[in-house]
Amino acid sequence: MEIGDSELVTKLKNADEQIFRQLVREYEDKIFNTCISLVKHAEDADDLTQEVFIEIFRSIHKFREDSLLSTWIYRIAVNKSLEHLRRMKRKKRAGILTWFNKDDQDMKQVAADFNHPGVQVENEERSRILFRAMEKLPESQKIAFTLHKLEGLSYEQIAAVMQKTLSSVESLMHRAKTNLKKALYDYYKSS
Amino acid sequence: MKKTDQDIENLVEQTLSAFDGVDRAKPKPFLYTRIMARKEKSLAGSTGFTLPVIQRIGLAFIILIISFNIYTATTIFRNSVSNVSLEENEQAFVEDLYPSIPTLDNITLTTSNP
Repeated sequence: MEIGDSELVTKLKNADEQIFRQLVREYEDKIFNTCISLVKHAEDADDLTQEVFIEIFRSIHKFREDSLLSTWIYRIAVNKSLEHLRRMKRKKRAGILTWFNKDDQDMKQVAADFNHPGVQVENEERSRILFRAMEKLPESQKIAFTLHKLEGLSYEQIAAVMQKTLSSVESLMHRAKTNLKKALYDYYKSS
Repeated sequence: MKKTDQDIENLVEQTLSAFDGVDRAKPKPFLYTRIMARKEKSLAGSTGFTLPVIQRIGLAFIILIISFNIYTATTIFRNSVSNVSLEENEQAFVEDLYPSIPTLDNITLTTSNP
């Protein structure tokens, strides 16, 4: 039986495990897909998905219901993924010790070779190139483009998740496409 | 064969639409079970006394300093107590041996009460 957001939140606030299980079932693909699209690593995305749900369980009492539950959940997933990426960057910048850190090199390689598991077989090679081009985008453009193209969120939903106005999301998407076109043009011209 | 601008434009457009018809990626099975296990583990971890290595070393150093201070204080106190009791024993011995010899206490008493 489908229950409304408000009832779901109330039950979650009462630590109802049955409802929590239902929430996991409903959101697991959405969260995992968002995380893997941003961090480009299946194992890390799986870890982050678990962290997102634990965070939901822990901080549901802080949710003031001034946005949709789905928006709040997507926001947690995006923030967790960005934190993870920043942590990885910090590790990379940590200095001489990272010269010996094989994991870091491996991570870089994985990001370059990443292919989203949901991409159609005939698009695999092109999507790999697109993912590489997306790495050059500024963070907010990358988030907007990822949420729209890989998670299928509308501009309105993205605006709610990113806490921006609709026009700024439209602008982010426009700039993302322009930057990607330029990066891809340069790539194909030089190859 | 050299690519024309039109070829490149086409490749760019094709690449930009590489995510068309993409399906959602799915996590490994039994996610709920893994979440619950992780939740319990983190709860158990938060009740246990765990600290990072540097903090552990710091804590051990502080405990060492405090222990040394306690040892020093106790030793000084013990020495002063034994010195006092030694003086008292000497005084008692002298009084027993020479009861007629005025002690410092007697002299003070006689001068203050004429």
